[in-house]
Amino acid sequence: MKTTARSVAILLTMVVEGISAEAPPEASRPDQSALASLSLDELSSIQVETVFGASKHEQDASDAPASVSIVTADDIKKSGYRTLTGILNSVRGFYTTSDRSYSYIGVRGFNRPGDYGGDILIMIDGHRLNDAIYDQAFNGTEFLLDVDLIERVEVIRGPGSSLYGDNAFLCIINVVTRRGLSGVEAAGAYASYNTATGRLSYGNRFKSGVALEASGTCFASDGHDRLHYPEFSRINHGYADNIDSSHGGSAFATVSFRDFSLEGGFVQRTKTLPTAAYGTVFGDPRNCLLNERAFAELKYQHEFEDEWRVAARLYYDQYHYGGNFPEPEYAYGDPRYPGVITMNCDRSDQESMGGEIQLTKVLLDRHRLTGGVECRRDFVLDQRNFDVAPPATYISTNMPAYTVGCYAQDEYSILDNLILNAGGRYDYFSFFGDTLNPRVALIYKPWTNSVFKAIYGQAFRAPNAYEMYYVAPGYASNTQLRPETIRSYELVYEQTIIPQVRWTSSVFYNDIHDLISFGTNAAGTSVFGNIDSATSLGAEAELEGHWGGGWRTRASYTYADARDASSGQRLSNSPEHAAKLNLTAPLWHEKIFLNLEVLGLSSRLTGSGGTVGGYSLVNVTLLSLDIVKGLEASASIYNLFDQHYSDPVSSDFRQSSIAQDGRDFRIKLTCRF
Amino acid sequence: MLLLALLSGQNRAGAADASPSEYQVKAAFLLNFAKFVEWPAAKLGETNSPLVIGVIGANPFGTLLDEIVKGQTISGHRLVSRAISTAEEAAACHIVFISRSEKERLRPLLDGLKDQPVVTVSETKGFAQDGGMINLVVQNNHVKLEINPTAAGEAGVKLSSKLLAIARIKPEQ
Repeated sequence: MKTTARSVAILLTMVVEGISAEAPPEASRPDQSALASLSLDELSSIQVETVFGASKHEQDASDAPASVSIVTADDIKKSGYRTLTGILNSVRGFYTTSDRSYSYIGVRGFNRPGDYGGDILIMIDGHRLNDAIYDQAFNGTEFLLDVDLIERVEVIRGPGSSLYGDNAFLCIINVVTRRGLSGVEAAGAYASYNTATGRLSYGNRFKSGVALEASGTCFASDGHDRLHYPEFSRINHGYADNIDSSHGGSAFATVSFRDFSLEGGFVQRTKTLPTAAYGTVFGDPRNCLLNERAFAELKYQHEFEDEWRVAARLYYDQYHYGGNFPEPEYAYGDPRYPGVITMNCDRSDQESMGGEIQLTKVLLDRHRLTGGVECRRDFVLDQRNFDVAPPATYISTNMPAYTVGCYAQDEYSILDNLILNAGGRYDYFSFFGDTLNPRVALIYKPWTNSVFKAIYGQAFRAPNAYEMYYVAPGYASNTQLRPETIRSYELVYEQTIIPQVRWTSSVFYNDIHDLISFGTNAAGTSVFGNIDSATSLGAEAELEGHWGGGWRTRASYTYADARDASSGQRLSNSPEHAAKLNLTAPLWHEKIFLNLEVLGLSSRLTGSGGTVGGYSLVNVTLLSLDIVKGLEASASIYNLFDQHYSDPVSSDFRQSSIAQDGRDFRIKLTCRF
Repeated sequence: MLLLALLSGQNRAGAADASPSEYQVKAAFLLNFAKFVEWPAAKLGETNSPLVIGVIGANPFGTLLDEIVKGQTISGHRLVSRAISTAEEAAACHIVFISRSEKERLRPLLDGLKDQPVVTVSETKGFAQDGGMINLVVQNNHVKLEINPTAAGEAGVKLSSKLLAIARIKPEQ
């Protein structure tokens, strides 16, 4: 199959060149003549830029009822992004932080330390990844997919609960997996801190029409051999030695046949913790986390003649978290610290099954109606906390739950250049009851090349099993928790200035209530409550340029004023300014590329009232494609100027901020057979 | 919009750049129609007479069509693109792209061009079934063709088998 297609492509190319075009050199821009000399087959196989996640069907990004950014596989390769964290850190308005346990994603000034990421919905091919216990959105090395398997990342800003329900609070991130691998592909990378990654992938399209792709990745890293935390200077002078290692692996496979597709994946990661968070013993190498996530989904999609489209899916999710925490007998302040050490363990498990049916119909040529029903049963929602010796169990609960949601959306083309997109979703959660969330957007294209969008939406983040039912000494549960809510207003203006250059700008206001935070109740115990509210007001601008030959530039700036609504104070871990620059230059015949990325953040407050300074990072990547046929090689240096910077962390830490990595490098090789 | 860097045609999974816009690809298809259609000699006229692609109605291409045909020649005929508004002007073109905005007068337009060797192209649902020759549809992120070969035959233009090979055939209804 693949040799025939190649011969046809070569033949067509020869035919096209034979009929030859005489292009006076000054007349045609390289990019347009590039398209002009593509064969029919090649034109048919070009993917035009569309986004799926914004309206649950493919549409042009400019028609989406949201401000959208797309990061493609090509961007990922050229910029040397190692994880979804790195990918998102390059997107306008986003910034990522880390506490050496996990990485966290901030959007438009909102990234509360202690929040596990429940305000952002992360999906793979439309399948929710946030778990039902912590609502966590893994994005680092514990993310389910190797970034090489990503076709594109759709970043859809704004509230998405009107279609997706829970977690689609600040934005939706839909990771679309690549299809069409033919043959075997192997990749290996070596990076600083003795980090090694290996991947093996196989894909094939059989004569029967069945397409199969499977991939496995494993990684291991020693991490920093020495990390300094002056907050623990009484133990080993504050040095945590060899407690930053991690290792793990992931697998992902898809099988598709006609209208059916089955996909599933698995990831496991273990990381040792050098930071002595959660009041654990500093310097104890047994301090570690284990995260596991798996899912399988069977999808059916069919487009009928008269513009009916049916999509149905059945899915299964599994999540496991384990933490081993050596607990001291005495607190750090006590000279007898640590005293007798007791190993305390957290174990959480989730198992769920669910399904969704969605129908789309075009009515009267002007209305595109989408409606659907989803239900999910979490039949295992297990949380345990116990001491190993002497054995003591503090919490062992299994609180199964279920949720049902139904949604509808109408994309109404009032005029050929004016679309009204309105929809809403009703959700019922056995934990707390129901919630209704609408979204309305007006998309206006008064002339070609300009788009104006006005968007209003409401979204929610449901309280999870951890917030409601986790009980331990000093922690109480709260079964009266309500969902966090957001009302979001946004105005977007996009302009294609010349075909190569696009301008995007937006002004936004987010009004957030009932934020779930740790507080202390009358008895002095820590308990979660809907106690906080916040507002985030700001503006963004971005300029994107694509030039012939592979030149690409992107520059963005975001201003965000995020404050606590009751005190009027700036939120912690919230930069007022964020700026990004990304530049790709082809060095030789579109086979060698140099990429430069500059990321800057202004200063941020920590939870304890201090500040961490602003910083700017420079990343450089050199990529070579097919110098030797089938071989791709890249070399990257991250944080080229060895900038020292820190991220604020939650009150689980004695430190108010954790220092981040200095300069590091990666070399990567990919072979295709 | 995002552009495509020219590929060597081989390793799409490896070398693919960011995607071009829908209308860049559609403009490239219009150029290809000029390459893969045979008109009667009388229609083509003398060498050096232009081969005209007319756009009737609201122009969704902006400058994309003008740019892609600039400097191109087919069998010695210079390719030009033009904005037109009347049926008479349409009959004088070799390829006519009928914009979605002309939905109301689609029927009279197609009827008027029925026996004329003019390739009719659009991007409206049902265009081929209604008697148009080539319809450009976007499906699963790709631009696809729907062709009504009977309409082409009646008009006296010959669509290359290469075009038919990549298209979905839509008979008239």
